Amino acid sequence: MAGTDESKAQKSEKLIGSFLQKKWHRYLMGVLILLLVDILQIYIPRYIQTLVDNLESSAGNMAVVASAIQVILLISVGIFFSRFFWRWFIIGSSRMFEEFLRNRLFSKLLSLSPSFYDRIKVGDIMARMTNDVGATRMMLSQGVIMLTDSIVLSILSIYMMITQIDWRLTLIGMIPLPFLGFIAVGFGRTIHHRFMAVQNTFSDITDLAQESLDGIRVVKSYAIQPERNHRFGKKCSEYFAKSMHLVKVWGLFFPLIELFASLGTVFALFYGGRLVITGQISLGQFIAFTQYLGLLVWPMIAVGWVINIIQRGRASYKRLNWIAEQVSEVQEPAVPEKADLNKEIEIRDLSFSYPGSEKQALKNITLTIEKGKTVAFVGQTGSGKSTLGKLLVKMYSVPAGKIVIGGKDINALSMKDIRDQVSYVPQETFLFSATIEENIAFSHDAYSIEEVQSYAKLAAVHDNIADFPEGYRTLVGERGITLSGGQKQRVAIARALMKKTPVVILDDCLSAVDVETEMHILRSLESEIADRTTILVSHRLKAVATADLIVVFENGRIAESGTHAELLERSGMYATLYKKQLLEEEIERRPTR
Amino acid sequence: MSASKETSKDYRVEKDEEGRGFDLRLFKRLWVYVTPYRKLFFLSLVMLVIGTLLQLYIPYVSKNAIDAFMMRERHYASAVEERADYFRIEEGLWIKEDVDGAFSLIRKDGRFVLTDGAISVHLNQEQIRSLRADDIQGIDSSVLLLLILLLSVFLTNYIQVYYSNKMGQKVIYDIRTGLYRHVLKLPLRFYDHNPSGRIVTRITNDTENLNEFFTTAVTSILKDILLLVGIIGFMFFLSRQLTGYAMIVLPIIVLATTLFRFFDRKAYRKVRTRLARINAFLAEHLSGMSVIQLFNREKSKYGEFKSTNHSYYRATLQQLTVFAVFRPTMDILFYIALCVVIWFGSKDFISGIMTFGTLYAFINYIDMFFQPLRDISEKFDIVQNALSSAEKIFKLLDESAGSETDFSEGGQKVSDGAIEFEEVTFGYNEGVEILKDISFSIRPGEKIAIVGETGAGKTSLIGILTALYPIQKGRILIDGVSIDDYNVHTLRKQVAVVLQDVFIFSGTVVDNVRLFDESITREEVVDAAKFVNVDYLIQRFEKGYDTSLNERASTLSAGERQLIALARAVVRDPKILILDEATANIDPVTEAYIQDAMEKVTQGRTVLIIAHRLSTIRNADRILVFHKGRIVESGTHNELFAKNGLYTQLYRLQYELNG
Repeated sequence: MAGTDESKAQKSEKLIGSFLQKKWHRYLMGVLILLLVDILQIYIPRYIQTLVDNLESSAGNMAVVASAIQVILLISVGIFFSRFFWRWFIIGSSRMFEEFLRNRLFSKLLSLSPSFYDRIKVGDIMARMTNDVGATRMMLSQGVIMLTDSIVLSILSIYMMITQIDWRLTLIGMIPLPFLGFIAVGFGRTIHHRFMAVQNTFSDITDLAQESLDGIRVVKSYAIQPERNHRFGKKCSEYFAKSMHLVKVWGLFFPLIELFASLGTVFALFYGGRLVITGQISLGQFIAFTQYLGLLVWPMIAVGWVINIIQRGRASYKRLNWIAEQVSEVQEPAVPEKADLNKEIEIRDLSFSYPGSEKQALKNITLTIEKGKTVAFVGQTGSGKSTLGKLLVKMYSVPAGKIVIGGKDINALSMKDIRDQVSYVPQETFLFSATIEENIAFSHDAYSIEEVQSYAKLAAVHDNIADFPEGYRTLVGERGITLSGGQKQRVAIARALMKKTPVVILDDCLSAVDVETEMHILRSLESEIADRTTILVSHRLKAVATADLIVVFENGRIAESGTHAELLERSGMYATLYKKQLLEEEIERRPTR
Repeated sequence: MSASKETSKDYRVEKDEEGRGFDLRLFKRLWVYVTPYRKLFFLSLVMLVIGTLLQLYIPYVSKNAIDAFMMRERHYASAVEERADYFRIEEGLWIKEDVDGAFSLIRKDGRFVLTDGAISVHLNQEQIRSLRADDIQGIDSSVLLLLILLLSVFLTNYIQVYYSNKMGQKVIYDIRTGLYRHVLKLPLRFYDHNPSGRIVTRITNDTENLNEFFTTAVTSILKDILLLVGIIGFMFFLSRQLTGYAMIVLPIIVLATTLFRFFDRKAYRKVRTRLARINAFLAEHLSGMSVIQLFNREKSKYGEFKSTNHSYYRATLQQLTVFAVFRPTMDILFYIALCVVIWFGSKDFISGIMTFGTLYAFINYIDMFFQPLRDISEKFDIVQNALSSAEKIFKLLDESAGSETDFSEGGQKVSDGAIEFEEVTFGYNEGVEILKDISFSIRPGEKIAIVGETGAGKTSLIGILTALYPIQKGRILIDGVSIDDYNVHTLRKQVAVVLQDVFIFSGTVVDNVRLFDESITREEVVDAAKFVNVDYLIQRFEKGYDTSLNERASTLSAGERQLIALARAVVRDPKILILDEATANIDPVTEAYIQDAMEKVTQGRTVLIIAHRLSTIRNADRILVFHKGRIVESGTHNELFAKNGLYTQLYRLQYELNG
């Protein structure tokens, strides 16, 4: 899958590169300020040394103390501002990058055709847009900071220790420090693996609980609660074991870091104590030395961390670039011709399979949809009746010459142009969690409430909406009111009608209302759509009986077509289905006694 | 993570329950869960105290090393010739340590000079080393002591972390499994009104919050408090006055931390809700992508996303500012405290009140003092979070309306399988009756087919017969005994239900047939599968009976699922069998297998079938016709057909026109 995508991928500029092109100076600024902090920090031990040496000499005087303190305070003020600004520049830029990244990716996602979404689960994209964006940002914030800090601070401290104090002491005092790096890398990795194992078991627990609750009917009917409890208990035990497995290492991590960080000071005391006693260095130098060691601890840990952060960040960055490099399955013509949907639509010997599927959803379809006529597509689930509608709005690509709109091949027309002139109401109604008003007026930037209401009336949903406490301003979705399936479908129809296009495709979008309501709606629409080309996809024959042409689909082929009367006369598939639906209605209307 | 979980993931933040104080009752109730493990709890507590005290002792050891060995004032008595215990410096100068001696050792220009004011002798390295052999030894023993201390701190820390985690994990194991057990006992009614996602969150995430509370928050807060108090104690012990000066910054620290906490919470909440908004927006619009594209709304949606994204960015900047001010503020406060200590400490040192080591130790303590202050407020947030989770968990645990008994089978068993409905009325909700005054009786071994249009109340019959839902009026008797008098689990073990929509659990084929009941052997499973003709299908799987069936990824057809469900029922050898036949299109081969299986399975059992198949109806001893919650006709196929009533219509609809 990835292989073909990559080979198809156009040359896309890398995300980080294009960001840095614009914002490199902010990063540079941040890094420079970070350098300044490091340099300032290095000076404090020097003044401590002067101070101690002054006190140690019998001629200790407060004037020297006062001046040293002044310098230290001055430096600390410098550090205060510098720390503020490097955070501001580096972390701020990484946030800016995060924003940039999301915008870029979302705009890419907006451009990808349905075949991408058929293939990739929303959950997977969400994981990339949350976790991977986070990990990439970490790389550009903490990663940059730690890298700079660990390199600069280490070099400066070691330089000061060797030149200002004693190179042998430096060697001895630093013995435990590299271990900090190793602990951070090694433990970091082990902890990560074990943590992932814990997380996976946690997901298992979640799945198991979810499964038991989703299948609660079976669980109860078969009285298998003890077995479910046992299984859940076992998973929880596993979680316990995995967590303890993690704690064994994780619990070691910080105590071990602390141990090795302090060991340096102890080693320094061992050898430095001798140097002081024998007068080779002053007490001030010794104390300054321990402070340099203290400055080194963090960079050593950071070296380890930065490796892990960059590793994870790079893996995440790759997954994000994968999205950025996706190419839409439906390609737009370089110079599109002007589409005119006020013409007839011809389908010429069209066969079609969904991308990635072997099965042909449509086989040798030839059909002419005349301008202004109402055409109904009927047939069973999976017969291909819905597929054709999707192809007409360019959701999937078709070979050249198979769909011709007003004499022009669909591939020569732009998606936007077509969709501006076709209202397609899909089978699965999707409303946004916005107000009903906003949902209906989805295609408009500006609208009047009267207009919205008139289309709601056409779709026979106005009365329902008026009953809601906040009317048209009622929020739809999880945070608002839950509409019934039928209400949703009617809102979706109102939304489509408000687009006022020459072609309307209603893809079985009234399945959740009863047949009377469906017929009522379709009838009330008649005046509105009289001069529009209308394609009705439905499984209810009665509702579409008045169509100018009824096309019956079966296994991707056109089984029969004609007007209602013609088809009944043929007593084929249509006639049987029709009789069945009439009987169903009759039973429904029976009284109980 | 499995796909099913990710897609159903809720990207919204649950409403914050804000401003809750530390409710003592919650603590008490939580403590109940800790009591079985109080040994672990106290062990980690003891380790925590020991570790903290040892850690506090470390700067004190350094202080001693500096004062006693590195900075000791040295005085020597001199002699001109060799004497016992005297050390030779040069010809005519022998010295011995003596507090009142005239000679003292002074460091000058990086070299030691022995002087009594009149004579000055420069000492070489060797002489110094021998002269101060005991100091070097003292350093060595300090180093040794420090090593021991560090290792002990390391060990106690590790033990403490390990055991407090062990305790926390055990506690959440108990809470989680207990909650799960409790939830499974709740009646189906509860599930109709509560989304399963929310219940799962209680069982998983909320208990996880408690884990953090037990393992990290409680111990580290205790440790931080202990450290702060201990540091002040040690400093006080070293010098009251200097402690007083050092504490000048304390009110500022408290103020800064409080302010930080206030602004940080505000900023954090903003960041969190705005991030949640981005994620919710993304999740929603990815799902509705085709609508956006079909309406050519890409540009406006991009604009919307951009502004949502930007408002998040602004919130993160706000949070960044809070941190960027707070952290350096704490740093500068540290430097101020340091300078105060140095200034007054130096004064004391020069006037001889304080040793240098004490000053050194003081500075170390100040450094230690600032560490816990940096993140103690974050830990309080964890506690707050955990308590709100605890509250939700306990609320669910207190939910008990209509709860079933614990799982103990026994009591009355179904012996013959006679069923009797006496004027049963039932509805899921108050005032909406699904079944009205239903009365009928079924003799042991009889096969009853139930027909009726969708919504006639057929499925509800299953629910009430197995006591999944309580009925509102009338009685249901099995073998003459009201189902209320049966142990519900015993009853359900003997009344097998095969639903139309067969739920497959994640697990192997064997697991799915025996439903994880390990008292059923593999052989019995295989026999049952052979009996219902599903063996051929299972054999085709790569791993046969050990193939794992995932609910979603399953490639099983509806018919194949039904066969597995039949095997499920058969393997338990129930007295009463209730079947809801699949309406979905089933391929002819599987169809034939199902028909054959049904014939065999129904032998010698009382059977109630919600029938969709012609053969089933024809083979039934009796047919009950349901219409809008009532039984409108009953009799054999021929009898009913002759009536030319509802049955005839239904029959024609379902069988004649289904060609």
